[in-house]
Amino acid sequence: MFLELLRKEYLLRRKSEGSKAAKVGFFLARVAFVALFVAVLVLIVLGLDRKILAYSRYGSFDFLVLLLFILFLVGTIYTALGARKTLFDAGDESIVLPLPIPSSSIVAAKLVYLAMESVAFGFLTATPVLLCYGAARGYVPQYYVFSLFYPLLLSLASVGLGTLLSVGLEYLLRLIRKSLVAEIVLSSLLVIALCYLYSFVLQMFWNSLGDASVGGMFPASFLDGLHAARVFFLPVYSLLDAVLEKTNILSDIFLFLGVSFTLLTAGIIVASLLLGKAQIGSLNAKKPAGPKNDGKVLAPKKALLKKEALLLFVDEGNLFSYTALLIAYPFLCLSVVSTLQNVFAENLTFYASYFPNLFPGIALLMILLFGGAINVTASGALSREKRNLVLLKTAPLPFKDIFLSKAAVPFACSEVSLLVTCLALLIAGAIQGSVFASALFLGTLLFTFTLLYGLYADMKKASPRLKKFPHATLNAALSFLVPALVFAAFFLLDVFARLPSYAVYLVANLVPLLVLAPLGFLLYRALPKAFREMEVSAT
Amino acid sequence: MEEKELETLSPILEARDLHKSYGKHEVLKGVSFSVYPGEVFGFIGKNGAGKSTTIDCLVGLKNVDSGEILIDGIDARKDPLDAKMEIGYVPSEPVAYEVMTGNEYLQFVASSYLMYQEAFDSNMEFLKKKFMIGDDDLNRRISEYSHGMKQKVCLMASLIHNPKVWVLDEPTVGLDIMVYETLMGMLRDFALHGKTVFVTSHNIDLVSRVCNRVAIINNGVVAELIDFKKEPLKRRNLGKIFFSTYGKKEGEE
Repeated sequence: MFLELLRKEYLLRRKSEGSKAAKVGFFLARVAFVALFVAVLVLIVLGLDRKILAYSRYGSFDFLVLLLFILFLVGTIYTALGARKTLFDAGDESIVLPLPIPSSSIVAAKLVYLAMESVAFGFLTATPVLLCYGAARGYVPQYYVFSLFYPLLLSLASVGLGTLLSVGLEYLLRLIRKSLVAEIVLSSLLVIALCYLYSFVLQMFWNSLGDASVGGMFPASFLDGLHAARVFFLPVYSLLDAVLEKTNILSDIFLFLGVSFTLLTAGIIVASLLLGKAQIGSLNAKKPAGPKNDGKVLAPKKALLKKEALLLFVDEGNLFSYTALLIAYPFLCLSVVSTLQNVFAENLTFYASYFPNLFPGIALLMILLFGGAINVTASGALSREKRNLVLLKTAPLPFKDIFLSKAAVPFACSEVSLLVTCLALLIAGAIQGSVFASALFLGTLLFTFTLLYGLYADMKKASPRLKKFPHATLNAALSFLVPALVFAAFFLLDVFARLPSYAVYLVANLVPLLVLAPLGFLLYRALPKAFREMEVSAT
Repeated sequence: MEEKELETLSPILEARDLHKSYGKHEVLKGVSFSVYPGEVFGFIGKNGAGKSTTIDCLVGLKNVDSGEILIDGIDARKDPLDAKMEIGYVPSEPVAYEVMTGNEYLQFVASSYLMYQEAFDSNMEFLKKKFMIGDDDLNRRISEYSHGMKQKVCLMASLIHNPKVWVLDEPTVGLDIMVYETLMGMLRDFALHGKTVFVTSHNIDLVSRVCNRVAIINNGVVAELIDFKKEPLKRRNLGKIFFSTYGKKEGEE
């Protein structure tokens, strides 16, 4: 029974990915992403470790503790998000609670599943760091066995703390959900904070690759502070101190076990209490009514636009994947492009002067890549409707009104975000006027095409007549491919063909226009028929 | 409606020789029926017989391969928007925008049907009383509704624009007994006011109590058409007729 409960948890969390080919594709993409992530992490760690060893005698261990503590916190937040889904799942509880399964088994299965996820996260993050650290110092084989067991040991504390945090997170989110403005502001602030963190990590990445000393990034006062503060990075510090420094092994082990089991026990108690609350039905109690409605019937176009805005901005699924990213897009581009500009100015001055269009090409790549990735999440405009597609098909709404609402709202939002981004970069001096104009032009072209193709892809998915062609996958791929090809054009024309700047910009802008504009027009003409042929089931 | 009156009226809903396939599997093999103003028409059949496909084609969710669908004389394939204007549709599973409140959703539906504000306000008041829903409930998000509440809102949405033809697909699932009886009354009242009801259901009790005529679909065609006015005794034996259509005795699998 316990294994069945674990399997149930896995199936509930697993996303359905469609056809076999899509599943294989997603699996390979995930493997590639994980491999790339581990490679970058290892590169940063090895690079920084080498520099810190040369800079500070005790800095390496302190940095290891700090890095693993940060990874522990990130893993705990990841566990907290998973715990929130698993412990506050009303649908799951309504199925499992009436069954003759002991509550202890239900709670244990949920916590064990969270622990398994935490261990998997640790294997991908902390274990490579530990292995690199040990390999750089020629540690004994037992150390590498410890590296493999490290995620399992930390999962005790991670699951306990994650469960506790999930409760706070859930009630905080319920509070925030009462105000749409608060939701948008907080999610945007979170994404912006992540952008700056990304920029900091990117800076560290470049520093670890380059020859620059680490002293500029981490002054002596920081290192001294870190050395004093490391004892508070529990339970990571106590475990590493026992294994690596071997100064107070017994007390470190007891401290580690004490902290871990206290957190785990607290987590078990909380999880059991939550299940108890679910059993008496008070967990998902009726919420109070919202503000009074004005009762106004709008014209169909306005009603459709309002509905579209609600789907994009109120639906939680879109809040982090689109809305908050739109607001964070300028910050993301500014932090990344500014960092790259500094890198070019400090470390790659030779290339910057000899190939003057190389950095503009990279800046354009970043702007279009991020913008394209954000915009493609809004391009599944009909998929956003989910089962409500039934309403669009049965209501007497002209297709042109439906199309207008589906295209206009995300396009307008993306365009405003792109304009703000380009203006911010121009004012900050991160890009020149030529890149500004190209980014606006190519961005608009890319957004328009991906929106049209996204609509077409959604309609074709529901059409019974044609063979299944992965239009949606192709659309997503194009949002990455077009920026890459633009950069390739800049690179080839500047580095190899040595064309003047105006020719490079002309080709890089004209070729996408000549390719995408006619295709976009054909798609626009094909949409009404595709909508008519689209079939929807009410069940 | 008297038998003579039915024959002299023009049908409000007509399906003529409908054919529909999913790949090589032909689901509808020439479904034909006519529904007249003022009647409650039942459309029943076992699972997989083509019931849902017929309804999906009537309301515009799917396209027939061949055949005609006429709503008040309007060809649904040539003038789909005009045809949809005449229909109020209730799907088997409640469908509504969960990010909206009940009020917002009903306003959206009213906008789609080009309703005037006064007509909307007056219809809303009527429907709120009929389905016993208060403003507090309608001002909450649909995502917080129970299944029964969602079904009520969907019923309200289907009637808000006062359609000529009310198409209901399994409308009683999830309704409490009071709302169930209210719905039964509304089906009869709707027809008594000269409108038309087209209802599919597995609930033989509902169909035999409320419907004037019943079509039983089997193997992609209308296998049996029963007029309870002409054959009132068949109301009580509808279950037996249903089973005999499929060549089985009642209670036999």
